[in-house]
Amino acid sequence: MIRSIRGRLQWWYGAVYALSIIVFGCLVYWRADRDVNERATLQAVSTAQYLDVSLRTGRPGPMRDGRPGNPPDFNLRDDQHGDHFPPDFGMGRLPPEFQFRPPRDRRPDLGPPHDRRPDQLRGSDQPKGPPVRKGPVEPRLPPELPGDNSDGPRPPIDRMEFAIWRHDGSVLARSGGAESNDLPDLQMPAGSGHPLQITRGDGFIEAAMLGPQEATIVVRRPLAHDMAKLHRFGFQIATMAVGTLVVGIVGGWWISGRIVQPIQMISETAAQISATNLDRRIETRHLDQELVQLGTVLNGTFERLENSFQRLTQFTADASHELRTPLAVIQSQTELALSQPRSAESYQLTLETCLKSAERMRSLVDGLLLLARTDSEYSELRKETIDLRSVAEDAVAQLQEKAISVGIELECAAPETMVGVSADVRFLLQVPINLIDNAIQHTPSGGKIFVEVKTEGNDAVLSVRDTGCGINAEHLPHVFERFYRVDAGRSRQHGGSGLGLSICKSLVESHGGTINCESKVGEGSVFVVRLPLVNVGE
Amino acid sequence: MRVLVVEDEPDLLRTIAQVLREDGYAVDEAADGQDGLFKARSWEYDAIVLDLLMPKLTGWQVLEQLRQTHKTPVLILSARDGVTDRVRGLDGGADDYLPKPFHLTELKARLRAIIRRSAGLATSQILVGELTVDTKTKTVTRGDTLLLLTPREFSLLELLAMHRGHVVSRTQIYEHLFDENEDSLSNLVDVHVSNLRRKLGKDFITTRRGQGYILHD
Repeated sequence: MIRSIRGRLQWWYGAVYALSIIVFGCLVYWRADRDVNERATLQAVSTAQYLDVSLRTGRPGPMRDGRPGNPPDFNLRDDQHGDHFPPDFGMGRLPPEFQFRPPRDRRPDLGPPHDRRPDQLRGSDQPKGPPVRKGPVEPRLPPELPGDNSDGPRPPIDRMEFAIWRHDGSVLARSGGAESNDLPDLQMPAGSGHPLQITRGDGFIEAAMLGPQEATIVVRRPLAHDMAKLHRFGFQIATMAVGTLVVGIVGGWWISGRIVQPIQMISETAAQISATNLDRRIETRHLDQELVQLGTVLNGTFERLENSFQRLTQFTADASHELRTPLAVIQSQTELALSQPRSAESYQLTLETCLKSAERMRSLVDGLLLLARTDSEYSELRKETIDLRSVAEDAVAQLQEKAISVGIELECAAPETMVGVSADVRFLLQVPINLIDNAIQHTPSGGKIFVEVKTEGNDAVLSVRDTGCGINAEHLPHVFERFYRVDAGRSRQHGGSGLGLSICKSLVESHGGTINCESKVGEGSVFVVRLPLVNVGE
Repeated sequence: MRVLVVEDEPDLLRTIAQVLREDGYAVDEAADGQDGLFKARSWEYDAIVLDLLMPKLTGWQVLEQLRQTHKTPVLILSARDGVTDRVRGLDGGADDYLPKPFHLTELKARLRAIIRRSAGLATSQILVGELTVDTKTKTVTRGDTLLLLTPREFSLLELLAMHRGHVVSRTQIYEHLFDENEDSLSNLVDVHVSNLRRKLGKDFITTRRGQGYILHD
């Protein structure tokens, strides 16, 4: 199996090309062969007709433009008449009934020659045929007659032979080659009922027709020279075909090379792109349209790769920043405490600070792990049909104390009936907790947080609305990004890790839901979680 | 020596301020970039410790705006430890860059180093006549004799020694010796100067009336 595109292209192209050349050559040869045969047949037939007309009129063949036509290209061997042409067959002028009729006309079967009466030759089915005239009728022969008057040496041609029998079977006349004294081995066709009968033999064509006074005319057209010419022609065609095929295949190889070259260029560029130079792109300006498409698709992939790589780098930097800060607190605090003897209160303060930092690191690590888990696979989710109302109420109950301690009113509203969702309660509970916690952090004392559960169409909806400071429109698209902070200082004082909302988004999406946020600066924000509603009745 | 610490992490800010105060610095604190920039412009600090990721103004923005008017030595203290961040910080006008988490001893050494360099000194020891003022160990020796000074007295001597040959005004002394929270009485400087004269020698510090004090070589 050929694996390279170029090789396969070449193979298919070569095969189709060779096949079409072979078919074309065969068609040409067949056509030439048919032409040779048709021409030979025509020559034989027209010669027979010429002899027929000569027999009837005593004049040399049909008239063309008022002059006698060219004699057929054969030699008469007639001792009585010598080289005189037209030959006088001793029959004188034929009566008008014997005038020539085009042999191509369909005529009734006339039976054997000796049974025929001359008037039957007129053809009783053609009463409205050409009108009978006095004197010889201009016969309508095919315009071409064998032989020509061209000067100079003529190529060897196949000379025709003929023989004419009287109705009693005796030979009236027969041709003989100038170079041969042998009588042609023409036989009077047995039972030749047709006015014109064409026989194809091995290397010749014979035309037999019924002449005047039930004479039988037979003309043989040998094909030896024509066949030799035809074979030469065939050989030439074959030679040209092979030559064309070679040129075509070599040209095709070159063309396919040119087509494949940009693909190689693309693959080289793609191979050079690595983590350190993700900003490289495939040059599409000089490419063909199909390859521009490929290049654009690849460039788009590189673009996304670069973006996700940058996001990853940013995430790593942010994560390390968030981890380093509490670490720096612990390290400097302990170093300071150990630098000289201190009071018990001072050590206690140091330990409290360290504990606080350690807790912050723990929550951060927990958040990162949770994110990594929801990122990697959702297989850990043990989904069951749970009531979203109880999830919201649990979260509110957990955070009620914290809300009261900072002077915020936390309320929850839910419908009478169950709002079923398919979820893992361990993970889903984190969503309202994070949202409410986030709302508490951004709502000043005396504010209000309203948690609502309801159904909308096929969605179970959980919304958390606060009367906080709101989020500026420029920050709104980024609030679910990891470590994105609208105000870098604010949430840190509340112990936020910068991961809460992105964890919410990740969890909600792992449950097949959506989360979004609307906000007005100064009026507050609302976070809406939509999950697919599960019909409890089922 | 007076130092400004700009840091949005309260625990860290408190720790750094404490350790620097214990080391004899007068320390001002700023919890965000805006406050930090305001203070850095208001007083003449010997050095500034600057965090990068802060609310209101980032460390880079503070540095950029500060550098338009001030040459105060700046040490960036950041949890961002990437090479690009360090390069950006140093090229932005910072004199040093220390990534978190860090050792307090290293922070102190780096602070001493940038203060020393800004005064045009090569080592941590300043020779004034027979006296050797060691800014590293915070000690003053005459020959082999160790002279006992209070931290405040040492700071005053260090300040005068760093600017020796130049008149140091009373305002300058106030600015470099006391932090923003100290209720500095106008005669406090006089008390410290007379104490120094008593311990080091009467003619050691010359008073230029109406201008300030000067330490001759």
